[in-house]
Amino acid sequence: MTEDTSAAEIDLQVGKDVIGRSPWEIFWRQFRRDRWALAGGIMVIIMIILAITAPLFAKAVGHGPNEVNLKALDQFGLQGAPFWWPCPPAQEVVFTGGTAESLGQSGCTAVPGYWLGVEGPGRDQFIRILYGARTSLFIAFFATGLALIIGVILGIMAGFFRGKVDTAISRATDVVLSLPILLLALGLAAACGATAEGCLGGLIQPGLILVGLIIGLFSWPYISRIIRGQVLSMREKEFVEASRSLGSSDWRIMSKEILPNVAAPLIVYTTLIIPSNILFEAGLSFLGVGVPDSTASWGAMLSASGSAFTYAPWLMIFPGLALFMTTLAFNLVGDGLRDALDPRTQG
Amino acid sequence: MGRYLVRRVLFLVLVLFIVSLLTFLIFVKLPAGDPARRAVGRSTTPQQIEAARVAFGLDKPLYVQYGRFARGLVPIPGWFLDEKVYYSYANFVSVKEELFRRLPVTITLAVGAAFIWLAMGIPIGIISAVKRGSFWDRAGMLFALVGVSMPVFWLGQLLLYAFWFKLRWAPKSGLEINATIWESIAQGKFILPWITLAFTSAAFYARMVRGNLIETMGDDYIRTARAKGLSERRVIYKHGLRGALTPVVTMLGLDIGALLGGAFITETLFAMPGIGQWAVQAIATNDFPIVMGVTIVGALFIAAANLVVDVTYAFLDPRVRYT
Amino acid sequence: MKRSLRFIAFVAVLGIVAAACGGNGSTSSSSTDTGSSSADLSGGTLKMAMLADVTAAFDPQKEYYSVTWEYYRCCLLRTLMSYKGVPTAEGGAEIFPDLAASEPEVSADGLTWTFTLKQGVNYGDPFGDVSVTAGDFIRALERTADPAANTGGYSFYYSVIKGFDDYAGGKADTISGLSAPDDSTLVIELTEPTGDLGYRFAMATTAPIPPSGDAKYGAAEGHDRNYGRFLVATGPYQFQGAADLDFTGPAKDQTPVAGYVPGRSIVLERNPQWDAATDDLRPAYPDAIEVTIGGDNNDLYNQVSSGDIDFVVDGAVPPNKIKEYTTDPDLQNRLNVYPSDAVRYVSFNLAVPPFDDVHVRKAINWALDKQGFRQVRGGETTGQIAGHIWVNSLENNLLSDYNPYATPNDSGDQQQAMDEMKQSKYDKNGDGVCDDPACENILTITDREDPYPDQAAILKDNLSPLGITLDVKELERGTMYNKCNDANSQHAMCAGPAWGKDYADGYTFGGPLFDSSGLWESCCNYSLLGATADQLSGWGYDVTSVPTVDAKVDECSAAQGDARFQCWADLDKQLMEEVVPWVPYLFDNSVDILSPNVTNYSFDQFAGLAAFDHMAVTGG
Repeated sequence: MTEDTSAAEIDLQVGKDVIGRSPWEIFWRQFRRDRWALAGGIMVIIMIILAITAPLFAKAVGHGPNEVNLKALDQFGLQGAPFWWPCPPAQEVVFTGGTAESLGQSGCTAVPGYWLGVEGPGRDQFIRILYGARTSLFIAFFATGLALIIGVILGIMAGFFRGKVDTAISRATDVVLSLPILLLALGLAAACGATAEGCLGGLIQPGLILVGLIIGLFSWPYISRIIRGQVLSMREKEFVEASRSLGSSDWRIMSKEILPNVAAPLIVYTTLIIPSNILFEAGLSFLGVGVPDSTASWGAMLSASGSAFTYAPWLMIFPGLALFMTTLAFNLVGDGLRDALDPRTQG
Repeated sequence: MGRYLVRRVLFLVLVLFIVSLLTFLIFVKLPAGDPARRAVGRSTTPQQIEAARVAFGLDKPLYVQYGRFARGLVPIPGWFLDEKVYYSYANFVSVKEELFRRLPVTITLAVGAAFIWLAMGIPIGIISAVKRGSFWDRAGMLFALVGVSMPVFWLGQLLLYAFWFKLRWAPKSGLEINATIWESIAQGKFILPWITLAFTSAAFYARMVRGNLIETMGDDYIRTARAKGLSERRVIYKHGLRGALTPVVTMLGLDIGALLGGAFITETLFAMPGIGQWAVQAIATNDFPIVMGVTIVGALFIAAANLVVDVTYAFLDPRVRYT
Repeated sequence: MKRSLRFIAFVAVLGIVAAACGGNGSTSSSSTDTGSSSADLSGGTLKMAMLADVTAAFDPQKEYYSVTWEYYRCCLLRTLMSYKGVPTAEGGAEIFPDLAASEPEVSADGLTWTFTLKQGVNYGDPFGDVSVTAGDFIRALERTADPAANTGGYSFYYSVIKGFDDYAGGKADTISGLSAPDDSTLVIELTEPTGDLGYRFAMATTAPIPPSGDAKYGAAEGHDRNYGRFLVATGPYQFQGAADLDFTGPAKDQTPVAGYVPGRSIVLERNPQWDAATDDLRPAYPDAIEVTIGGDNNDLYNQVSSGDIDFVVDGAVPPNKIKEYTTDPDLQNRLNVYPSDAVRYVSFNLAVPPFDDVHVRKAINWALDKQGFRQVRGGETTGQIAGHIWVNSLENNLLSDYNPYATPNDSGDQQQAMDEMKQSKYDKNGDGVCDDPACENILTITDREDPYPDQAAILKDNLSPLGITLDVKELERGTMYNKCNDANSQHAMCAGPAWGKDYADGYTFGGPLFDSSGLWESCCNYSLLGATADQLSGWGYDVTSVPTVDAKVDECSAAQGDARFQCWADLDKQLMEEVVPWVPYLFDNSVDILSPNVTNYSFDQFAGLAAFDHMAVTGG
């Protein structure tokens, strides 16, 4: 951001009482004071680090994310508990099949080496959750990024050119906002994900990318609407006029003058869309049209554990917590960013 | 105003056209979804498949097929969801009949949930805004954050486990046979689904009300009101709230519109025989006429809600009229 | 959202007919006296739940689904012959005269069958004063032949009736092979001897349809798509509100029965016309049967545990419930486990490398951890490890101890598998690990519901030491079956299918699964056995020849008595050792848990489900 725009910027977003500091500096001061937002930010960073280092953990624990260990199931196929789980003591020893675990009648079996218990056909739930973070974060960044690109381009064009371009883009936005989104997403996911061939002639294969594309394609209108509003109000500002009078091209004005100035609200809304996209993916997985089983996903884990509350609470608690904490973290950061950029709503 | 209304209605028609076309393209050209093959079962002859294809109109060119379905979306008696086209490919039950049987459940779910989230969200938002920075503000906003971060299906399963299976305070999921909607409400069948559905929205509305109220309180007319010497309470509740709640009405219209199209996860989770549960089943079995009917009804509710909200606004504030 | 295991356990047999199957089945009419105990058990309301509705809204000419068949058998529709609703050991696989007064008379050449009807059997409401006559069966068979009414049904079983196909093709106004010399005599003329015709007249599509005015299809007239909602009963139960049915107006103005709301609920009440004196097959204990449709599998089984409902018809008992009910002595008597006469398997497509090489197929038979497959289904309660293809009851237990790929603890044997792989052309360096690109990313199709994704993970794990990697696609169940069957889909393995019988004869396995008549786009020969070179290239395969067992299937379907059992057993062995189209891993059990309210239970071997008419509940 260039210094000459800062006055306008401050006037626009921060309000009256600060003079002389760059908006980022002001923002950072505000943000830093918000302990909740900082905590959220730290959680997000931890989550990213965990997702990146998941293979190291897998190596350390000795189980891969798709590694099957039937010995970690009891003879009824029930998953073992975390090694520290207070399972009731075994009341009888049953020896059948391929496993030699001893079991209480109603109890569970704590399995050594499995920090958060066993999932699916004897997979390490801890490692699975770490890899699930990759899925969620991929969706968070890929789908949101896609929405961002489409939304920003269309939003700026609509606000900047106004007239027919604006009408066309705004109507398109309205149309997408009027779509029964989950229904169409379910349909698309079913159409492309439920067949061996994928769709569009095999171009789009079932999997993470498909789910990301679907979510991205349905969440751009929110961004485009916000950007359009911002651009409309900014269009007549002095710095844009100045740039235009200096003979800058439309493209230059849009990319050099307007884009940097809508960056702040953009970041806020992006941060707030991320958690809803993560939940979107989890919901699709819950309804059975998400990513395939070989890709770890918190939503799919929750869906598979069904009513595991009754007999294996760890199957619900840990993926649920991971999902909840991640969305919470992004929401905290988003709130903090918003407050920092607009002190009027600050708590 | 008249012209504006006409334009908005035309737009609604355009939206429905686009939605129907999209739905048709997504579902009909679904690679695995030859409805004729599915209908004739696993043991069959090419002749039987062909017969079913003809019966479903799948032997016709695509645009004719689309035309058949599109005609059924025109709200003219005899055309609308025409039973000759709009019937389940699986059990041949008319889509219209089933739709009207399921709609009351979904409406009850949506309206009840909206009532709960308003009853929770607005007071929390107001208290948080009025007592900014207090313990209550922090508690309220923490609730709101938890609420917006909570996966619906997780919450639903948790509630069912705790309040039905463990405590037995709530009745089992699903509706009793032959029970009317009112009887089902009286039996408490809707309580857990309502809460599940309302929780996230309540949190969202609390945040919105708080933000709006704080913002409104800084506006000029509030300052004027204060300057006139009105009591702070009067300023907040008479003048501030009016400004802060207007956007809430907008959101409410849109949210209810969306919910009337079906609460997929909640209905599936609680075995509620509404539109959402039906849609999920129909998509899984590629029962196209149902999917088409449900999608259009969903889009219709959203578009109608948009229309109502916009028209109301246009009446209230002529400046927002579209050019 | 999980469909029943049994949903897939119905069998489709093509319009080719099993030859006579003497000995098994039709014995003299036996009357099981349930009179003494029925007084104690009668009464009350049986409350059941179904995850999903029946497939064709109870239309008897369309329903090809074991759950609906049970509703028909137990409750709604009587047929000329029928079953007792008991397990095989108690005669559950045999048929007995039901609406027929006695066993049919068969002419010496086997081509003419004559059924004599019981006297004094009336329809349920609203036709309480109408007796069942021979013409009503002809009406049902004509409707069975009518393509406008038989979508999804099994009309191919009746092509052996003279003139049936002509009627179906619109070339005749009646079926020439069916006649009713008087109201209580039905004469059936066949085009070829069909020993198991009795079984086919124990299926609901042949159940009588009452006359209504002059209408050709009687009560079903004008209800091509929805007769199920106007169904007139003959069994001990009818849909609630059947008395309000009115067939006088135009069909489109008639109101369907109140007791069945598609996708929502089924309520059966006693049929006032049903007379126990004419029916010695059905004890009909409950006064009413109420069924809710829809819900979550685990949630529904929790409702059974809590006693909110008595029974889940089409669910899969979750592993935690199996554990609870097998280990807790107080619950054990509420767990019922019976062989459901179905086999679960992984099939190979023999036209897709590397499965054109028998050594690779054998290696996988050695490698597969069948124990693990069963374990993730819920353990040994869910079935018996399969060592071969035909369920034992269809082979008279000739191969009950046979397993050419027996491994320690049935957990697979990597060493044996690698030894087998060494002989394969796809293992060039002979180290027991496939080193050909054909072994990479093999397209494998499976069901997306539990426990199939778990089984696929085990399969991947088992095959990776052999150098085989899989590209697993998880599909919705119906889509999966379509894809497995579709020879154009180029899939290499199908890991989710199961197969059950329609009735007790080995042909119901051999024909559709391994004969070339079962090839795409007919039915279920996923391995493409018997496909010609032209067919293979037409489907886009480079492999030009695959094994065939057509001759053996023909030989077996012509065999009689013990020789027939032996023949199916020989074919079974040949398939397991020489052809190797499958890895069969489980002979499936039907597992039911019951609420504390249920005081009597019986397993119906015919439908492979609980016999609803034998279930008794407290409060009666």
